[in-house]
Amino acid sequence: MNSTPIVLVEDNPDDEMLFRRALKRQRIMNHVVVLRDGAEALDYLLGNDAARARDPIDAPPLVLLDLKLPKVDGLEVLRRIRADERTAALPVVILTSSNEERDLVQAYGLKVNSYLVKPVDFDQFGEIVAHLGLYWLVLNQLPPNRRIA
Amino acid sequence: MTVPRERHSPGVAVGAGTRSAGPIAALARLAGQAWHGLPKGQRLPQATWQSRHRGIVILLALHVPAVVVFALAMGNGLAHSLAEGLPITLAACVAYSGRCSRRVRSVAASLGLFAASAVLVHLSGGYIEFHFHYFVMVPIVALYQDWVPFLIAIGFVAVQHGAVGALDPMSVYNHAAALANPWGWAGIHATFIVGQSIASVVTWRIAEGARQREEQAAREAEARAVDLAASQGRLRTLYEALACGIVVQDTSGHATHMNAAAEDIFGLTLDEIRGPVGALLQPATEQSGAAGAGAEDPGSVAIRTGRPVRKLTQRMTRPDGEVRWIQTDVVPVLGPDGRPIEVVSSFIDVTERKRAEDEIKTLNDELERRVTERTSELTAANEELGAFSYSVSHDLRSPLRSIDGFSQALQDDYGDQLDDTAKGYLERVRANSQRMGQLISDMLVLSRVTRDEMRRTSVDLSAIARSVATQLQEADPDRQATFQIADGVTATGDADLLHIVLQNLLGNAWKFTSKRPHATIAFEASRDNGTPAYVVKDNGAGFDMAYADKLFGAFQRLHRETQFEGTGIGLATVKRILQRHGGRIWAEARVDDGATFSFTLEAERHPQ
Repeated sequence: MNSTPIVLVEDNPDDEMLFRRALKRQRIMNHVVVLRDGAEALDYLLGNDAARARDPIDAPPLVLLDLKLPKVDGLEVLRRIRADERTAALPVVILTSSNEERDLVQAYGLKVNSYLVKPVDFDQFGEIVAHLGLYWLVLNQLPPNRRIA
Repeated sequence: MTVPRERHSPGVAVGAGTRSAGPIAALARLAGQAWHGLPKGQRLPQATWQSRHRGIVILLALHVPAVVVFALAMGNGLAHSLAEGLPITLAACVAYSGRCSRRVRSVAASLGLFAASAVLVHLSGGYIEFHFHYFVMVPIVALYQDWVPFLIAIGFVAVQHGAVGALDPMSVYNHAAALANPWGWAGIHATFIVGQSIASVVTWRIAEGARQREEQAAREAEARAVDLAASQGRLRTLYEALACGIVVQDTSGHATHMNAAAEDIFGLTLDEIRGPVGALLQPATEQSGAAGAGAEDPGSVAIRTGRPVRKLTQRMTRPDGEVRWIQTDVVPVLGPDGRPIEVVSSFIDVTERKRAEDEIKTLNDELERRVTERTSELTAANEELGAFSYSVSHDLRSPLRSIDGFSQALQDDYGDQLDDTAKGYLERVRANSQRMGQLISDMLVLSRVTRDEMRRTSVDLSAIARSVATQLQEADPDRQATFQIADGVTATGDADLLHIVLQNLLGNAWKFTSKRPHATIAFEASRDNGTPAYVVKDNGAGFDMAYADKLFGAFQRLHRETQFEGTGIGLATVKRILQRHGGRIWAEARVDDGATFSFTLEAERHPQ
């Protein structure tokens, strides 16, 4: 199992807890870095050049992005990730409550890798997390030497 | 009744004519031509005859003293001399008499004149020089331009010469040859008289021809004058009767004629208009009503260019202060050299029309403004609704997920510490949070079908119905159900929205037949008063028609949750979609005897 932490951008601690719980129930043991808003996410992934030089990170195997976020919203975070050549190829999956058409259209327009809707039913939510973990963290192959300098 | 027929007489004359053709026919033709060449006589107009006759009678009367004086001078006694003047006096009296006819008076005067000639010759003792009197009298008699006095006069000369010459030769002739043969010389005298008569006849014929031509010309001129007068009268009537104002202006723009309608329009009479007519009117554009700066008066334009000016709308302020709108047409009248000599302007008062147009324009503007206002209000409301739905979509679901998720966690992690009642409560919490999740989803759909733009295309409803049926059957493969879906049912509408309609109606049918051992669900095309309609029919639980009006309201349910699950939003969504298409939906059902939902996608066509 990959030791590099996955990134969860989620402002709701309940959702974070339920997500972690669902991961655990599916026995997915990856470490999860939780970022509470869009600004924090951009800071972690892109940072400013000086900080990044001191502290480069391994590119996460998966970024899970909520859309409604404080400060900078999810679609803007996605746009900035795709606009930066260091993170342009990063696997990003939107995980949100909304299935609004315009969100879907914009997200795919910004080359999102996948778009998942969080169901209200926890059992269904668990199933989605299980599929997600299995696909992106087990089956999916990533290129080697991925570091964000 | 018999109709008398004209009998054709046998061609005797024709036969005779053909036999004697040749010299006789030629002679007859010649005579005919001569006859036509002769003057017709009796043609003098009464006034002309009277003036000529008066002159001739005066001449005749003057002969009476002349003859008496001459007789005395020739050595005759007074009684004899007066007797010589007597026949002339008698003739003059008859000629003068108003009681006799024109012809008798002409004959009397003619005989009188020739009698005077005869008397003069007789008194002179037959001197040839006194015969000249005859030659003077012939053209005078010819002045009557009538055959009877003329021929009588000529006959009198011949007879008087012959008879008197035989009885008393010395009173007619004064030479030996004539004295020896008075009739022969009477013939010679008469021949000269005839010669002169022919010359007079020719003159007379020429005069008569000229008079005929004159009369013809006069008649034609009179007819033309009558026509012209009628035509002018017509034009004048037309000019005065016209509802549109007519003004004629000279080249300096001054009005020279004006009809009643023009006076009425301008509120001025011809005399009251001083200066050019153009000054009364302010050029204006029909749209703004404002005076067009520097625009030239149309009358001046027509005079300058020699071309008409058509349908120009102008504004004028009448002397009484009233503002009128006038439509002007100006046509120049061109002189022989092709240059305008005057202009004719017609004016139509279009004030009422203009007022109506302005009113319509104002109403239109107002309507336009209101539409814009409403549209922006609606757009704002729609945007607000959009923002609201977006927020609901994102924010309302996550607390529910927490409620559901942590209830589940409680069950999973602390299940062994909870009794069955507590577990039952947790089940209820989860069921309700999930139901609320479904409510939110359905509400979002309802809000979206109201908000989203419609894209009308031709839609294959049969195909949609089949795909929905397949999904329903696959989701619940154990159920025994038959779908009867008619082929080739198409409609014009928004494909996505119509999909939602069929999903709801077929989904309802599927739901409410769930308690049947074998469900039958049909989709087919129908007609509602000529409008295409579509029908979804099932053999399910049905409902009581008493509550049918509640069927299509949001959150209205006719069945208890425990019987059939549902949010009560589906049919409200369907109704909204059909309303947006211009159609409607209605249902017929009986409790436990199935339900039939029919819908249309366009406004009802009213039969003629």
